Amino acid sequence: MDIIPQLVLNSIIAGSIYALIALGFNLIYGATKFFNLSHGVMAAIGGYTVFYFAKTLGWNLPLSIVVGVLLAGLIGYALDKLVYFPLRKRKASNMVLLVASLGLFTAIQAIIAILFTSQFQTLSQNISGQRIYEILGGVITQTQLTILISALVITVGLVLLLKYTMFGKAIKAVSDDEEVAKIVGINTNKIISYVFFIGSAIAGLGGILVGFDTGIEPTMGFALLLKGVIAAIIGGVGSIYGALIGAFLLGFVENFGIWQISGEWKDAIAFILLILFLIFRPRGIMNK
Amino acid sequence: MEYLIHLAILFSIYGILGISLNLVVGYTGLLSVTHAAFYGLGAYATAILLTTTGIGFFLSLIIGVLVAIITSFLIGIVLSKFDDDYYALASLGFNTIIFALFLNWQSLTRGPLGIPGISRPELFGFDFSSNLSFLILSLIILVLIFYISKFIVNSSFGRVLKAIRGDEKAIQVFGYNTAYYKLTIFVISAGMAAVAGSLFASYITFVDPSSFTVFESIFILAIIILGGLSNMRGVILGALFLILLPEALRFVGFPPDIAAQMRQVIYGLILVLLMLYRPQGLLGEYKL
Amino acid sequence: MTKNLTIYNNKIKYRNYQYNEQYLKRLNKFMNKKTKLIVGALIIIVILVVGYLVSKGQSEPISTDPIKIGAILPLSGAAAFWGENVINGMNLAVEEINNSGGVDGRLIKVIAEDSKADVKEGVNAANKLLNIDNVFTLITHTTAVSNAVVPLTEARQMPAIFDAADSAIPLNNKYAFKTFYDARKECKGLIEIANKRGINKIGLLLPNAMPYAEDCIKGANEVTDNIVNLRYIFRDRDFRTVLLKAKKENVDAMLWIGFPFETNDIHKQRTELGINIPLLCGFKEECISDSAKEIIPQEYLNGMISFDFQDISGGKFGKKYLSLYPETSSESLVGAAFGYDELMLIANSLKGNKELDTEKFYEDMMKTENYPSAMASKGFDENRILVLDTRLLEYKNGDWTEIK
Repeated sequence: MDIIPQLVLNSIIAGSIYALIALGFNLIYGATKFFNLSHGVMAAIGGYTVFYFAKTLGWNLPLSIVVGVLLAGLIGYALDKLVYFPLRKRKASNMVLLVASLGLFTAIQAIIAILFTSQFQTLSQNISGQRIYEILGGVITQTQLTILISALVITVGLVLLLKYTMFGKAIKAVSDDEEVAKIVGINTNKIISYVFFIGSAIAGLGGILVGFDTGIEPTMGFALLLKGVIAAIIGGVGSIYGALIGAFLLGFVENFGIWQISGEWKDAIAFILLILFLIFRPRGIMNK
Repeated sequence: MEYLIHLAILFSIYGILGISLNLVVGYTGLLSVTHAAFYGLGAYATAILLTTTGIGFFLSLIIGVLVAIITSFLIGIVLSKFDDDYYALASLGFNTIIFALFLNWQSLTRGPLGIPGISRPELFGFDFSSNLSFLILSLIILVLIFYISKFIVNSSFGRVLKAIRGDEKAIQVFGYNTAYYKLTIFVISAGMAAVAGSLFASYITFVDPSSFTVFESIFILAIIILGGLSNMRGVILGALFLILLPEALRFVGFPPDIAAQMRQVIYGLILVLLMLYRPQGLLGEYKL
Repeated sequence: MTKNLTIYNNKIKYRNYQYNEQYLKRLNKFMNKKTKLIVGALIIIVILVVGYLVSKGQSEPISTDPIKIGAILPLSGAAAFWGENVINGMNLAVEEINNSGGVDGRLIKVIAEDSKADVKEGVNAANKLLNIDNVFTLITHTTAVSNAVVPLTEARQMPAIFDAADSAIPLNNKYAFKTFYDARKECKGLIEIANKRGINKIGLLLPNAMPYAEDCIKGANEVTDNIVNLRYIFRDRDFRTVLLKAKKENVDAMLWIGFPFETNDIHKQRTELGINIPLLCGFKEECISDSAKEIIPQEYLNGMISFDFQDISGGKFGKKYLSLYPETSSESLVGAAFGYDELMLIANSLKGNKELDTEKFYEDMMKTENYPSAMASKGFDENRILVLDTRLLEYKNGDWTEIK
């Protein structure tokens, strides 16, 4: 294993995880324009669902993963229908939605802790079963490769969805201007709830994969969300490719920051990067 | 009774924080998520000066306010380049950076070990070591801040702020330099937060970085949103509610092994329900 | 045709929108007064409840009621993984004590409050326990909260236990007793033995934001200058780049004092990256967890040096705890062990003190010698810091052997 290629790979691995959260966040933020604090908790829901079905109940692993992703999506959908949609109907401000999402995030996290305790868990069964691949002088495990591929596939999938399907175009319309979309006859609320489903499902998948790579614990959502948001903004809010690029850039800056400076400043470096971007390139890399 | 006095002191500190943040968020419409940073600057100023020099509380308070003013001036200049959504995230970034400074600038702040042994205020020989006397001090300061804020808000300066909240471009057309107004109120609000910080440091007699995270900023935001943005009495009510609610929940009987988490669930649900049934906050009239 | 339909639909939508507006306005007016009343009533109720409980607390009868011990623990939030185990250990101790007749015939009771590992919440909890529940003594966990609570117990001249990483707490506060590790001693001892074996360049694999890490660094600095900074953000589970840094700097060993949830990640990533730099670490289950023994190749585990407490999982407490909570991983036992010990220390010092005299309690705490400890501790030293029986172990071929 050569050092610099490994550093590059580390950055890519970190970036892929951020990308999964950023993609979902970007999608939902584009459509609703509010800072959804409960998005991170969807990752925890996905991870714990798989934990329950695969480890506790002993179900088939691929099936558990599908259930996990779907459940995360469903809960995101349900939260929209039960909380965010009624608030939007009352023309509630984005700050009200923020506080509501804060309440949901607090409550759901606590429920997970009640059901599963706060102890750290891992989804992976054992390490000897893990295949390790060598790429250009660095090593990457099977799980990490899966994370990377998922991030790329979902990005491409979303881009295709948005560009070539009616549904996707409706989402774009809502993201661009909700009022106009309504006037044109699009059922914006229905679109938004579908967006919540998809975005939350992606986050759920992210949580599951993180669970395999390292592990899960009830409060894992907030930190992931924060990084995902930074990635989304650097890349350009609303841009799908932007979420991916921003995530990788964040991964690189963080890891090279640890390398050159030190590990303690990693979070501060991430935010300094964010602020520099906001100053010099506020529309993000993809500059829409 | 001591218990209530303690809660009342905390209430006054958070009342000051809420009122000061409300000037920026409620009246001017800038979603600032960095208030805890200025709170922390005031707290650390008092902590450092009271433990390492002979400087008294009230002088340290003034120095803390100055530090907060200078810092917020610099931050405010950068933030003025952003609009709405990015403003919130950039401010969050600054909170994280200042938190990282509290944590890592160990020669000054002792990092995670914190600064214990901060003394209570002393004025002309009178020692505020009893909680009751400290409560009176903090209530007096709260009332002062309340009336100063009221004065600002009802002045012509305040009217400009509200106009900026409504439609910044419109008032710019009339020749108002909105950047100056935004920066000024941001700085004033930061100074007030530092006052709350000094009170906190001297009351608890210990500060450490963990009290000044992004989460704290979100909590202060929740106070004013709950109370009703741009309504000062609402802020007072909001602070009262959010300080008393977790304490009241302590007395509700849950099965002991899940009691703490259940309280979090209830707390989160109450936030959500309050937002659903009262989206403009307890006493608010303004919806952003 | 479609165009007309769309216009018609839009007209309907607009009309509905208007109706909604009127409905909302009426609803708002209706809710305005009523909600104000409800909210006001709610606040008054809260104040009344709290006030009632305050007065109730002040007229507690004496003697036959259980002895109340307050505990301030992180039971929710980010540190809940620690507090959960502690409260279980405490409850186990309470059960054992009460089942054998209590303390001189009187039962004990733990009243636990959540600190959420937050300073102001911790102080709220302390105020409630001290003023409303009138507890006899307090056990406070997590360093920051301890620092904030100790002025309250000192003001009352109340001997209290602080499970904190800061040795300054008992040094500067006469009535404070400290449990938890002494990270400075640990790290100093580990580096000393490492240096003796010719392991000179030490990487400090420590989290930021944690007081025990600072203590550890102090201990390390007392022994050597040959240190590499490998600090990481606490709660981050991605150690890959700092491990890579260790390799680049050619460190001979990495000093790691952390939390049990990190150990498996570190070993997994070391193995994946092929970085076979041994660790100098804390107690043996934290150093190498049971699951790590099964899944990490032996060559990556050989050479580990552990600064261990007496066998927690193999002792009487450990076995009983694991039988009650079989899901617990061995490395999570230490929190429960501390909770258990803290209760046992208090109960032991209350023996023969029927009037609950504080001075006598204080002296007896200091004089503690033999008490049912989960970690073979013998009591406090002259600085009121818990003395933990420690030993140095080395891992070779599947087993830990003691280093003399």
